[in-house]
Formats: sequence, structure tokens, C-alpha cells
Amino acid sequence: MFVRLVGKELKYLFKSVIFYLLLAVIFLFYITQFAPPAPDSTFGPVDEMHFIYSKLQSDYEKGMLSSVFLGISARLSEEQRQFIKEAMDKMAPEGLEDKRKGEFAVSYEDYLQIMSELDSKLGGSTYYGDGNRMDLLNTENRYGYKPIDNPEEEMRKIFAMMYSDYSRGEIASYKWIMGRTIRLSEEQKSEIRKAMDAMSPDGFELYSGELKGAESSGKKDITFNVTYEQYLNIVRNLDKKLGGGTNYGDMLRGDILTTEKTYEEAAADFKVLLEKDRLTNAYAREYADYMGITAGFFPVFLAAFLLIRDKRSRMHELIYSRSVSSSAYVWAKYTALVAVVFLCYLVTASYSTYVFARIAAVNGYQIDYLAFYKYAINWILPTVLFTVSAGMLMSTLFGNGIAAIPIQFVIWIVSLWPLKGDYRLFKFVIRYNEVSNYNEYMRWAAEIGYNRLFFVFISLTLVGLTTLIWSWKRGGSNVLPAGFAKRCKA
Amino acid sequence: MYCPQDLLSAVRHNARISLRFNFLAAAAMTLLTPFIFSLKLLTYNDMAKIGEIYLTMTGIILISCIGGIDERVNVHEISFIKPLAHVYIFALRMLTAFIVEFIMIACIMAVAELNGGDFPFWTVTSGVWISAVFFGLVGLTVVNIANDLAQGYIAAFIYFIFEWFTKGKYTGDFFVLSLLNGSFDEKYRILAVIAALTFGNILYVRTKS
Repeated sequence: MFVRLVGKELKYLFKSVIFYLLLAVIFLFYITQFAPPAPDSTFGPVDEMHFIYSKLQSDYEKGMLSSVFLGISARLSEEQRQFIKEAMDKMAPEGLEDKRKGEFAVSYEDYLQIMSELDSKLGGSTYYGDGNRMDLLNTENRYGYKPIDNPEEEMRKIFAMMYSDYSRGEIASYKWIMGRTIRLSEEQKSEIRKAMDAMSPDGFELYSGELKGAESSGKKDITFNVTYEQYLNIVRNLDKKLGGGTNYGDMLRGDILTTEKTYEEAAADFKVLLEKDRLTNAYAREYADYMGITAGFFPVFLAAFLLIRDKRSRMHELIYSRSVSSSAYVWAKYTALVAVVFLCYLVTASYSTYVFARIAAVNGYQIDYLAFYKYAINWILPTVLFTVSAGMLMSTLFGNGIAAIPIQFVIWIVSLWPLKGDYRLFKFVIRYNEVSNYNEYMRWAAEIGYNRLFFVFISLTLVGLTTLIWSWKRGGSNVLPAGFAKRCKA
Repeated sequence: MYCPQDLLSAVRHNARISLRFNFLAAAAMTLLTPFIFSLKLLTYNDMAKIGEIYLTMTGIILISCIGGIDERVNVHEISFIKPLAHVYIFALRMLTAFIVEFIMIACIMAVAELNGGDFPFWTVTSGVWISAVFFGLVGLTVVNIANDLAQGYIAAFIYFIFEWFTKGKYTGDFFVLSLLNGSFDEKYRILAVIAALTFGNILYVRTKS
């Protein structure tokens, strides 16, 4: 009976326009947000010389100097294009076979000389000149950030932030979906000052240069007379006193305590990403992040009207009078809907696997072919289970499908931020919005695991509750399948 | 002939039947606003976020439902043959919903302003109202054509989520949530689209009934 009901529901869902609208939004999101890389994309960090060589090549081919980040767009004359070609030929007379790792014919010092000469020939002030080239590298060729792991450096950065907030009289605060700047009251300012004095009694004076003979570089001479644990207590208390949601709290402090990676560090991280994550696991996490957003809301449009449909088509009295148990009926509908919704994510996971298989073939990488499926099952499926079960419960409770939509919207929107690092048990959408390596992911793996198990459990409980309410509305007591009920009575 | 009393009676009755559960849901969302977001000392950017991302939803919930009310309760065969053309009733329902939507948004903006908010009240209120009505009309149009409430809702929400996450990359000068970018210019174009959708829906209902 259960299998037959699932089959019937599946047939109905595949004929439903809303299912295809759901499929459309999932694909739209996939294309516009995740957008898998092209097979010939470069992966991994590129050092300065290789990046500049690629830039020279691009500018030569397009016949213009252009940088979106620096707001530069200037056509090159034929003579100027030849200057660029000469610079490229000096760096690599026979071209570069490997855009990321190919050997150059010049040393770094010679390369700097070539860039300086090219800048002069192009009229000066181009992004190949010394000063502007660093701006270009800092905007178009960043290597990412790493957490600060030196306690002293961390305390120094937080102290600097405290001084800045105190001086400006404002603080950044983040609650729910909104980040905003809050004006500090005198009491709040004095709390910041107290925290600073607790960390370093003369630190504030050194920063403000009030101490006789102190120069601005005196900031480096600040000494802290607290241990790291004491410092953590200070900043946590400060966050509470400032109303929570500030950069001093545990949730957001990690995001600002970062420093830029060097090329060598980025290259080492990429090696770990290839060896431990096999590339696809890292991208699968980003995929599950984006797809999880759709899984947290859109299935509710199908779920909310799943049981109401019978009432709308005036078939509910007929269904109530049938011998099918309430649990078989409700669970069959739930199973069918979850299967159909999850199928959409399996399709996108399959396509992603295909794309990365081509990338692996072009670049010679070893990938994990099951990565996208693993993260779809572990991260997205619990979200789908919860969204569908919550939608069914709310619509059954209120007797109206509309009720489920705004409620689901509110709980969904609360789950969407921050973009990483918050997996408390009310966050039913897993956000992990970066392609980071295995070691970074392992910081959160356990928390994510508990979160997912919790939501699977909650989802099944909600479906159980839905069954009870539906059965009560039905006016009968045959919640359980007939055979099971007989055995219980016996 | 119809006197003002009849009109008032029609407004009251239609407000009661077209703004029932959807009104409660939209009102609940609006009333929850001060609890979800602190409405103290908010700036233009803060109000734009609250309005465009959160309050806009009330438009979808309130306005989409107006489509196909009579069909859903199976009284359309009776209501369509009444002396007063059904299209006037439909237009009345739309107007009522637009006004209720404006009142709800204005209330929240007023509370924010009274709590020390620093933002252009009428610009933000009207901008958010335009977004809410636009998405509501998208839903209403789909409901009218497909005669399915769920399809109307999902179409409106898909459009909204798409606009929000792509930040106007694909809609350009017709970016609905333009207050997020600090711009009101797009709202005039959206207002023109609202007028077209309103007229289109009225024409469609007139033809159908």
C-alpha cells in the first residue's frame, strides 16, 4: 500500500507545473551562483611573473590596457602592442607551455627591469610600472587569507580595532540578516576603554601618542599583561556589553583576524586541496552551500499544498473514509516529495561531476568522483527533509497552505547568514561559502555533522506530528497501519 | 444606480473575503519586524535592506491571493453573472490590497523614524511599496492565468530571489530592489510595469468573466 501510494504521488508530482518551476529555480541558481569552472580554467595560485605574463598576453591580444578593478581601459597603438610583444619575448622567447608553471628565460630582477622599461615606452603610469603593478597584483591576483595563529598578533589587531571603534564612536554590528554601524553611547565607549586598559594599561596612551616622546610607531611597543584566555574573556564580555553581534564576539571575530597569504602559502594550501580534498570535495562544499539555499525555501511551495490539495479538490472525505492508515498516507506523500526534490539536486551534482571530470582530464588532476553526491546527501538532503516536513506540518496545523510560506521564509532567512562558521541547531541551511582546503573544513566538520543529524531527527519527528494532526482531523484513530495496530492490541 | 453606501458595503465585504488568511499572514510578518530587526537609529541602507528584502514579501503574500478567489470556492459561475461586472469587484480588491500594503509598510517606516531613524521617509516607503506591489502583481498574474495559487506564489518568489541574489545583473535598469543600490530611478520604470500589469490583469479578468 505504501509503495503504491508513493508511486501515485510521484506520478502526480511529475505532472505538476510547480515541480518544473522548482527545477527551473534550482538550475537558475546553479548557473548564476555556483557556475562550475570551464575545463581550461587555471586552478591554484599564480606567482607574480606568471600573472603579469598572462596580463601582457591578454592586453596584446585585445589591443588594450584594461583592469576592471583599477578602472582602467585604454586602447593601444600598434607600436605600443609591439612593445608589449617585445617584453613577452624577452621573458619567454619561445612562449610558455604551462601558463602557471612554465620556465622564464629571465630572473626576477631582469623581469623588474623589463617592466620598468615597458612602462616608460607605454607613456608611464601604466599598471606595469612599479607602484601601480602592486595595486594590480593586490586586486587581481590575491592569494586569499589565512587565520592569524599568533596570539600576540591577534591581540594587537583586536586592540587596534578597539582603538578605532572608540575614536570613531561607532561600531559594526551584525544581527540576523543585517550588518549595520551603531553609534556608541558614552557608557559603551567607556566599556571599550576599560577593555583596552585591562589588556594593556598604557596601550591607549601609546596609540593616541599621549605618552611623552611617543611616536606613532610606538604602537608596536604595546605590551599586553593578560594571558590569551584572559584576553578571550575580555573580548567576549565586551561583545555582550555592546549588545552582541559585534566583531568582538566568537562568531565574527575569526572573520577579521586574518592576514594575507603569500604565494608560497597559497601554493602549499592548493597542494593540500589536491591531495586531501582531491579538488572536487572543496568545490562540492561550495556547491552544497549554494544549492542548500534553494533547498531551504522553495520545496515549501510543494510541501505546503501536499495535504491541502485533497481538501481543495473535495476528495478529502473520500480519502478519510478509506482503510489506508494515516501514517502510510502522510509518509507516502512525504517520501515521494523528498525523492522528487532531491532528484533535482542529484541532477546538478551529476553535471558538476561531469564538468570536473573534464577539468581533471585537461589538468591531470586526481578527483573524487563521488564528492558532489556525498555533499548533496550529507548537507542538502537534511535541509530538504526539514523544509518539506515543516511545510507539511504548518499547512496541516493551520488548514491553509499560505501559512507555511511566510513562516518558512523567516526561518530560512535567519539561517542564511553568516556565510560560514555558524552551525548552531537552529541553522537548518548549511552555509560554507568558500573553496577552502581540507584542514580548514575539518575545523567545522564535527559541528556540521551534529547539525545534519539533528535536522534529520527533527524532520522525521515533524512528519510524525503531521501524521497525528492529520489523523485527528480525519476523526479516526487508525494512525498506524492495520497490521501493526492489530499486533499492538494483541 | 449604485450609491456610496453600496460602494462602502462592497469594499467592506470584499476586503473581508479577499484579505483573510493572507492578510493575517502579511500582518503577522509586518508586526514581527521590530522583533526580528531592531528599529532603532536606522540609516537609509538599513531601512533599504529591511524593506526590500523582508517587507517586500508581504506584497507577494497579500496581493497574489486576490486572483481566482471566486474560482477557488466555486462561486464564480454565480458571481460572474451578477449585474455588477466582476471586473469592478476585482479592481476594488486590487485597490484595497494596494492600500493595505502601503499602510503596513508606512507603519513600519514610521516606527523606525520615531526611533531615531535617519532616512528619507517617503522615498524609502514608496520604493518598498513599489517592490512589494510589483512582486505581488507577478504572483497575481500567474494565479490568474494558471488558476493555481501555489504557482503564483512560487513564480513571484523565484523572481524575488533571483533579483536579490543577482543584484540586478540580468535586469539592469529594471532592477526591482534598487534601493539596495541607493537608487530610486529604476522604481519609475517598475511603476510603469505595475501599471501595465494592473491593466493587463483587469483586462484578462474582464475577458474571463
